Amino acid sequence: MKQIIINEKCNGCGMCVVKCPNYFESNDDGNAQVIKGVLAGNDAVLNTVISECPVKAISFGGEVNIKQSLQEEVNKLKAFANGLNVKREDIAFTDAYCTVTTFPYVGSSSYEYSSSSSAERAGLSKFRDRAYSQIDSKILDVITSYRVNIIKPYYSTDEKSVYTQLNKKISDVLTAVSNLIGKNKLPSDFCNVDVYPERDTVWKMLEKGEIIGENFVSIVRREFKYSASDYQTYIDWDDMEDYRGKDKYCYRAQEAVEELRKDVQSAVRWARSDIEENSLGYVNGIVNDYNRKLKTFLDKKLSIIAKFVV
Amino acid sequence: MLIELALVGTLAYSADKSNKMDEQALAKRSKAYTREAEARELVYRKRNAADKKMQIVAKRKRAVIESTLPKFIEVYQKIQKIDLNISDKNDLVVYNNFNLCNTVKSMETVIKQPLTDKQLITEVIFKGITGYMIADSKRNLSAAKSQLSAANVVYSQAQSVAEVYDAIIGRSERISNLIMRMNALFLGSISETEKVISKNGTDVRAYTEHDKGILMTCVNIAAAMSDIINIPVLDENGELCRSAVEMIQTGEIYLEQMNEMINQ
Repeated sequence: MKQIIINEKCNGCGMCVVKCPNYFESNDDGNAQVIKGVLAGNDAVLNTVISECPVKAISFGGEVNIKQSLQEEVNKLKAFANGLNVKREDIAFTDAYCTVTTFPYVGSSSYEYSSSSSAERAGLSKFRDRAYSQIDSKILDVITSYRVNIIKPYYSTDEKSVYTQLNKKISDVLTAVSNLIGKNKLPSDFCNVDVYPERDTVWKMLEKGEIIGENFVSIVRREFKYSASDYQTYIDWDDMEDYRGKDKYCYRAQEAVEELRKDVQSAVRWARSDIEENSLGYVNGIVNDYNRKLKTFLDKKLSIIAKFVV
Repeated sequence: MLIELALVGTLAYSADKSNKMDEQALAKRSKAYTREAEARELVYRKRNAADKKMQIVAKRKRAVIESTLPKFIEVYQKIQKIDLNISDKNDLVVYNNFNLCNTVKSMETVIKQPLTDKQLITEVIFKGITGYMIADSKRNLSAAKSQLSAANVVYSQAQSVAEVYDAIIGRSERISNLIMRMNALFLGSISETEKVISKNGTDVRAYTEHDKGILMTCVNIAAAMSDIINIPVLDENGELCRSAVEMIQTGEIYLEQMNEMINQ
């Protein structure tokens, strides 16, 4: 039995996939790839396809020792038995997730206050209502982005889930094993990998929207030390004569709002370490559940394969 | 764009006067934000998948034009040297009307087009089919009584957009598969034609009816291939091209018939 090799000349015409579906399949980019574990025997159709490939991208490789190849696949499966090992850098709360966007526009008043101090007070009041009151909301916004992109793959079962991705890799190895042993000698579902953490718990958490995150707001809050009145110095005022020649004052709060945005962003960054620490704890809880199930699953598969590895 | 509208909507709901949200409000807001982020993620994922599938269609077309078509041109020039007197046959309409220059030109036009119909995808989502959905979205958002219901409106709109992308993905896969199978047939036919010509030379008297049939089939497939290569996934208005469906169906039936004929 020989290896089949496809080189980089493949242009994705698909001729080999159509004519030899037992040997070739399309990859995600539309190019041809050899089905995992499939080896070439003496097959006339395969020989024709190799000679007729319009870009001469397919060739035979060296002879393969099936016993040795099977052992290599078994070793890969054994390595998978360690499961997922989530490290802090895997769930890093990077700068990309620490950016606080601008607060709703507070703006400036029209010229309607009779003194600079009353304009300043009105500005602070508006700042408190429109911007300062939104701090939690802003923090939550930042954390949600982190949660959905970095943490959720550990709490979901869709295609982005870390479990689905590892299951796919294991399934590929099992497919290779199955092709080496012979599909007909193995159970029909041999290559299926459907291992996930306890789904009920995950889905209940998702339904309630409580995956993790609520407590992160308070973690960031602890790092944010300013009261609304601390921003008074950033409320600017301006005066102008009205048409009757009287002095009138207005306020401008943009600077205060921008200062608040920067302070909240700093607080988020200060809280980064605690957030990562917490996340790691949550994630490892559920990952350990998966790892336990995966080990049981792989032990069963390895015991089936052991009958063929003499 | 839809997501931006949604964010504007949700910001309007965020005018909470209290300095600190109570726990329940925080949980609700957390759920709403998650829903919005999921909506964004869903649209992003589907858009990428649709783009990838359309790139594969482009790749298959390019492969036919770059590697199969030159082989056919070579063999067709040989066919022309044979004085085939076969005009009395009813099934030779395609052969007699076949114009290599037009076929090659139309196929080569395809290769000059951009690799993907990214721009068209954007249009189909935001101007075409889903234009009315965005209007609906605006109405629903203004009627939503809480941030969470606003987020749910956003999510359901994202699902509608995802359905459009799914339709594009489905269409692309079908075209891609059709081109791939037709190309395999075409390559096989070119190879057979070459064998027949090298066996019989240019003297028409050396050709049996079966041999002539092989030559005609090759030209026939070239004509059908040209039509299939020109099938757009989306038309110039950014709509999922309706006429393309008919062309795909015709192509699939043709492929089926040819396979039956070959296997007989």
